[in-house]
Amino acid sequence: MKNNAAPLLEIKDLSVSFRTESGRVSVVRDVNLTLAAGEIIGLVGESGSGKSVLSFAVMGLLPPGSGFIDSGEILFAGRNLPALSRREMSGVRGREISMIFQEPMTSLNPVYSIGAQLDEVFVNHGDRDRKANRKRSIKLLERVGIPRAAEIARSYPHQLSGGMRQRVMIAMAMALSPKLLIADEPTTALDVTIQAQILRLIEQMARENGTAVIFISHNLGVIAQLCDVVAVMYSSQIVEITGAERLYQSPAHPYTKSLLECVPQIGMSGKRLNSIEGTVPHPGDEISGCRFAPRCGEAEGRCREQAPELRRLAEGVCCRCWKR
Amino acid sequence: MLLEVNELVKHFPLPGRNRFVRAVNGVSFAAAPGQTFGLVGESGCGKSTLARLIVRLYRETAGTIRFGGRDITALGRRGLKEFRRQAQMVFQDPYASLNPRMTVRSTLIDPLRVYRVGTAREREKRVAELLGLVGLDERYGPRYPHEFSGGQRQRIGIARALALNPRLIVLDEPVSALDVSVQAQILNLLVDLRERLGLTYLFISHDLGVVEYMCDHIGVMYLGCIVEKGTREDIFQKRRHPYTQALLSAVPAPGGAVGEQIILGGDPPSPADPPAGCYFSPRCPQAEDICRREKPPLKTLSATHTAACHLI
Ligand SMILES: Nc1ncnc2c1ncn2[C@@H]1O[C@H](COP(=O)(O)OP(=O)(O)O)[C@@H](O)[C@H]1O
Ligand SMILES: Nc1ncnc2c1ncn2[C@@H]1O[C@H](COP(=O)(O)OP(=O)(O)O)[C@@H](O)[C@H]1O
Ligand SMILES: [Mg+2]
Ligand SMILES: [Mg+2]
Repeated sequence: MKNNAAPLLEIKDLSVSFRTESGRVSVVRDVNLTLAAGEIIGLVGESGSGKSVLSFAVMGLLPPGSGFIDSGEILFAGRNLPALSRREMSGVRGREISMIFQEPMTSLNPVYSIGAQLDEVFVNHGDRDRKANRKRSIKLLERVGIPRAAEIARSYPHQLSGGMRQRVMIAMAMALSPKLLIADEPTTALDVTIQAQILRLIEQMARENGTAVIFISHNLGVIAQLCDVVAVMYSSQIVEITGAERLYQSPAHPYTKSLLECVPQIGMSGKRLNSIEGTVPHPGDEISGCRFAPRCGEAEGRCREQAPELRRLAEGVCCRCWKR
Repeated sequence: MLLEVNELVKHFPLPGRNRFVRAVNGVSFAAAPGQTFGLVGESGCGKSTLARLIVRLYRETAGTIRFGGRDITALGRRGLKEFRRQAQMVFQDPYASLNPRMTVRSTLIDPLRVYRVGTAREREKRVAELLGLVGLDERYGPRYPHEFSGGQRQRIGIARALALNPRLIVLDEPVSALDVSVQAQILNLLVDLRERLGLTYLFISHDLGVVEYMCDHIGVMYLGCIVEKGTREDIFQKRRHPYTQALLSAVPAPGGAVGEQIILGGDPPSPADPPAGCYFSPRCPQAEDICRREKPPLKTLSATHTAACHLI
């Protein structure tokens, strides 16, 4: 996915912290990412690594008064998002960036029918013809593979399965035809056959509508299958950015490598799984060297003393490691 | 066979006359001592209900369960107590399955007391031994569950299941709530314990990679039925049922071109209102008329391999 035009999204040296009882805690550290129109980037990492916080920062949804952008820029279609006013940012969220979550119930209003919530999107865009809006809503529901769409449009969120609700969320995101879709673990609660449907829809949005996608998941297989580019997060930092097809073939960072070896692959029974010794450092822990060094089999003197930067190793491969 | 389940049925009544959730619908399988039998299938297909039937948290609607040759569906209170000593369960959610007000030590001593095992001193020794078995520090005894990570709590849950030296452990999605690096630690532990203690596992998961890694024999469930059953190789290399094929093709894999996947439409039907004929027929890409009319018979494909499909 090479694209020499200006990227749609460019995150530069972004750091985010939370104010907590025990002081400031840096949960996103020096993140750099770029994303072109139509590109799907995967953000993968274990729980607590900072994936959701990073996406909230992009959306301008950090909890006011406790979550702060300490430094860096989020350039979206030429504008620095954190510098926008609240009203401007809410306009960007309504029209240009959409987000879907693991539990769609939290973003659907339980007291309105599915159809009414979809129609609302068109009304907000200034289309007031109710009949025409409902027709478009039903079309969208059909497009995301919802059977008996007209009937489902009249039903309420709690009457639908998790997979159906997620499809409704995607229909809603499609109605907006955003430039950027942020999908935070959208299939984590779903079964694999339903997950396959959702992944295909997200892929369609990117390929057919040119929507750029940030796809967050802890599932390496999902990421490798769906995404063009993968960013691996560990303890608040991006430790590797690489092409999805290279992720399994030639992971660069020792953490990425260990993580891949933890997942049982078909054909592995009888072999011992790799497991990463120790535990992830708390995001607030200030570590003088590399944040993975305490658990890294390759770590040596410098790794424990000096923090490595994310460096470009080859075309499309960046890695935060002294040994590469 | 240590465990033999025969035509097991569990229907939960619904309000209204003659309405039931057919959670488990005539399931049969057997697990040999020292082996791991895996149950895989999507949510709602009846895996947890089956697990609970086997450890006698539920009473069956019909069918039999034999344990060590003995029908345990007919046991009285004393027989049941003895059975529970030999068959234990580990749950998915390491946060919900431990009593937050009990220290690790009392959690592990409790079953020993209930079953009057050993003297007070021997019980303390056993607690230390159990903690060692699951790779936890002896000094953790006086601590409470909230002081532990998810992976550590799952180790405590496993230690509790081991306390009475059971022969069978039913593991219901034991690693589904854990991060992959922690999941790997727990799977390695389960493999070690199986070998060291000669345990038999009934291992339930929706993750096919994990099931393949852990299990010798596997049953694939759909809407309360086992649609295909066989050795690991039968299921992963020689699968014949269209549902098993779709399920495996849906597992995301690196470079797995989405185009080659069998993408099933819709959701599984409700077990309160199952379709006529083969339950999988409404979503089956190969379904023919007969599939929508008649329930498919279980066909024997080899000494170890069976599948319920008209088209095989
Ligand atoms: N509102 C908040 N206040 C304080 N800390 C938070 C808040 N939200 C998230 N965090 C912390 O930020 C870190 C990263 O969290 P998150 O981005 O949710 O991780 P991930 O999505 O990768 O699982 C975690 O240590 C989490 O506890
Ligand atoms: N106690 C219960 N009462 C009524 N219905 C139940 C009960 N337990 C489970 N069910 C239903 O039985 C079906 C199978 O559930 P379960 O065994 O939990 O499936 P799985 O573990 O495979 O996800 C589901 O439709 C579920 O809603
Ligand atoms: Mg998250
Ligand atoms: Mg279950």
